[in-house]
Amino acid sequence: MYWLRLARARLRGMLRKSRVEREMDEELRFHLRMRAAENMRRGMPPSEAEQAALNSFGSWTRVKEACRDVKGGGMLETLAQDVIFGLRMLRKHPSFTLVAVLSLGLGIGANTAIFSLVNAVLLKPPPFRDAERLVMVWEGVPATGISGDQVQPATYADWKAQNHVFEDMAALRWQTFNITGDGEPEKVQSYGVTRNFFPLLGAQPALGRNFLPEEDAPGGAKVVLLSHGLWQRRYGGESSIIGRDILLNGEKHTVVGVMPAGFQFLQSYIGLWTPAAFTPEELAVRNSNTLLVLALLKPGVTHEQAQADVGAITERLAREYPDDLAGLQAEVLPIGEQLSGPVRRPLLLLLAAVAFVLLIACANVANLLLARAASRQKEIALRSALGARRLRIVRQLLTESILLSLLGGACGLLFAAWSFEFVKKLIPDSLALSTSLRLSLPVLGYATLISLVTGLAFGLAPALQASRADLNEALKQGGGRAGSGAGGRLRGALVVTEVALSLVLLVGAGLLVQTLAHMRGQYAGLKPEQLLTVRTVLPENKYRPLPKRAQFYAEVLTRVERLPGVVSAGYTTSVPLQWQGGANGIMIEGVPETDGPAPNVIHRQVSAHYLETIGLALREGRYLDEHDNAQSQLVLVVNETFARQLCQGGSAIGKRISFGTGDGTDPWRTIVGVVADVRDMGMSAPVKAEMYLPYGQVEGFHGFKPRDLVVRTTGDPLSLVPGVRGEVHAVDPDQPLSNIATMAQQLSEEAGARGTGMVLLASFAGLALLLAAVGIYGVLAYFVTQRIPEIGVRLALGARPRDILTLVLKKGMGLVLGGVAVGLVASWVLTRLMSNMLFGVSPTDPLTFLGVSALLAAVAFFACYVPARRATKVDPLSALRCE
Amino acid sequence: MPKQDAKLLQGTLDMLILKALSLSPLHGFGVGQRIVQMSADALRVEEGSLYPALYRIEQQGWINSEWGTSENNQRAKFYKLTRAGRKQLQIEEANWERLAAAVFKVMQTT
Repeated sequence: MYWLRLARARLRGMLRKSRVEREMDEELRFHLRMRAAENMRRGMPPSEAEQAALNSFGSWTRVKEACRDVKGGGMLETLAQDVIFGLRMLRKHPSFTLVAVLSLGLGIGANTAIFSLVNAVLLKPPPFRDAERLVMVWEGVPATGISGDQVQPATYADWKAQNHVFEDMAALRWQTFNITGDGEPEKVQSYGVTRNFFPLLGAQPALGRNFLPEEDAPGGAKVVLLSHGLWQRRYGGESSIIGRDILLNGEKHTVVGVMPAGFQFLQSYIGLWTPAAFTPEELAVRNSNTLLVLALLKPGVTHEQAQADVGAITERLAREYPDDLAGLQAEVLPIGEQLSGPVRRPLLLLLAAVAFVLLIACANVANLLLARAASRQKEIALRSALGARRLRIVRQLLTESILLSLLGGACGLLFAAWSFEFVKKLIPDSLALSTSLRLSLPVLGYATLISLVTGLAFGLAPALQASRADLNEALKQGGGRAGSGAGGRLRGALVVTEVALSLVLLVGAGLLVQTLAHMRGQYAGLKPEQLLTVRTVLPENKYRPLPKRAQFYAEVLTRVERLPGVVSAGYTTSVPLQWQGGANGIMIEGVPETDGPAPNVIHRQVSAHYLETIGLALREGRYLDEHDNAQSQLVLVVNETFARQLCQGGSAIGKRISFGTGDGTDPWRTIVGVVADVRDMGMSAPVKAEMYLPYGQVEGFHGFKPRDLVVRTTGDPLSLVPGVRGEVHAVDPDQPLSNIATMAQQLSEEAGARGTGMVLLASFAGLALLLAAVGIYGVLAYFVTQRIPEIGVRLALGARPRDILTLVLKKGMGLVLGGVAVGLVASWVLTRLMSNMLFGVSPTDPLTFLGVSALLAAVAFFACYVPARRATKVDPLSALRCE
Repeated sequence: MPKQDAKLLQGTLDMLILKALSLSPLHGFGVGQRIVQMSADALRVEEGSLYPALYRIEQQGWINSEWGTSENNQRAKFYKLTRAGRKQLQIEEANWERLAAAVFKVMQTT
């Protein structure tokens, strides 16, 4: 209570200064009058009485000062004084203020932007009700390097029935629908979900209702929940959509609800959800990994306990079904890790990078302040001579630096808000809809906090240094030269630090630039800028019979190849990088079965000229062609990794493989060709063994049927899009097209977050370099200014300008090289931390280290050269007169 | 007039002011006068100490002030003891008695 009252009184003291002051005046004047009256009563003549009253009062101003000290709020008022004085100082040196505020603004802005990202993606819990208890459960077979695989329905059923750790488990299965009948045909991605899926997440439809139990049962009514995005885009956001029937793959489904905007689970592009309505037969399937499993831990159960419990069930299953489930393990992953795990490390790396930038900015401003403090030495000495205590002076100087950092912070908020548009590309797709970057309260708080800390950090050393000034020395000297000893060393140390920090950033950025170049370089053979890819997913119910499918592919390919500007066209299950699944166990003739799981090979069904079209070079044998059809010998082409890993040294050509267990249910197929490897599973993921089969020779395996159309063009692939669309619709007017892009675009997208991260890191490194250069320049310029008399003497004594140039350059480059040495050691230690973000380049790549050092040294040399050159222009006469 | 009286102990001046106000509300000049009277002219409070002390005590919440009319019809600021101030006065009186007795004892021993 007391504090509240005090604060209020003092605030009033500050705000209504004039009124308080008037009242105080009036009160004291009343006192004077009373005293004078008293004196007169004692017999003094009026004039004398007044004078005596005044005398007895002592110093009028001193009394008022003492009163004001109590009344006006000592701390707050001196603070106000300091602030006003500080602002005046900043305005008096506009170029200093501008450089300092801009440096700090860039530093604080970069930090705020990255922090807002970290806050939104890593710190905030995922947008689900019991986020800390939600987990995903995956399958893995460590022996074959499979991890995070989808779950076999029977495994899910066993987990659900036997576990002791989950309150509930829900399953999702991936499905694709073509929406027709109400406008342009469109392909949408979807999940079939068990009824408890939305309740587990704590999510409710914004409109309509969740699925009913009888709808999530075999034979139940066909219903669908729409995503907010699809509802807005395709149905104009009309609430009358509830209860309407829409056609999904030609079947009527009733819309029962719309999910709220911002709701997403995993992929942001999911357009609708239907009840999974598993049949008992479906839930008994093993050997087909089709489900995603979400579970809610019972309260108090840890992730480790859950892992142990589900792990034990899975091991039991693996023993029970050694043929199907050998080596199977369960992987429990907290939902937060599932959604943001992959970006955790890059984000933390960026956070470290911006911290470096801020440190450099701090060092820079500290340097400027030190230089200025030296020239303010006289002012400060005068103030302490007039009775200001050291603490008071330090406080004044600190107020100034915090003013600077707050101005920088305000400037930084602008930079941050402006950068969100770019920075948000780093938000993983799994959080794209539910996350937005804003100047929210935590972000503003963070910006304020780092501004204050920054102000203290760069202000403290110069303030202490300046206030320590020896009175006599300072007043005696001409001014500029005081404090060049200790201050000079401190400034030198700051420059070394700046150079070292920026070198570390430059090395990191350099390594990432090389990584990205290396990644993209791997696909140079595909000539990706002349490849158009279009996805046409054929509806299962319409195209199940092979002849119907074959006819569609053949007709589309023939028509597309006839378009002007098209070199060739082909169909495949999936173009590189677009599908990480699609593997199958195989057996190879003559290779005895081992105890372990069968070799797992990526499986792609392709049309005759797909391999030539996509640009995979032939290494051995032949490509596939039109003669490899349903009537001819069963053949396939494999990649180099297949040949190397699975053919035990000999040539792969002529070897025979079979799906299944070799008991004759699947016929033998002969390898007729070997093509070059391509990184299909991800730009940095290891190449797996792959096989390409003529689609006409494969019955079953419907999940693998071709869906991606690839067109090799002579000119810009995108100019062919209308033509290709026309030809597809000429064959089937209801067939939607999706994922239309050039291969080059797909590569950029794949590099996506890494590319954005690289651009950010590179810009931070560039910023660091710039700041460091400014810092070096500032220190040397100051050094030269201080040494003008000395330089004058040297010149007068016959030194040549060259000698002066060398003198200054030596001083500057000494610091720079010291910084480079420290930075190289620091980089050598720190880049190891980012080794798993690198690809094709070692974290201690000597070329990068050398190149970056050279770049830094060159920039620094330029920054030194400018003041050095000025030093040679010193006029000896006027320099000496100065002294 | 012993000069050190006013500066004897800051707490002492505060206590004297509270005591002076415990009888009736007074303006600043009156507070000084009453302390002179009560001490039979032994103590005189300097203006330079009196007003800062009044303001300080007011901020403590022991007294509050309002503008009124003085005995000679002039506008003046009157100070009044609050309930908290009355309590504070009791505490300080008790403390003072203890202190005075102790000091007295010390000075008695020769």
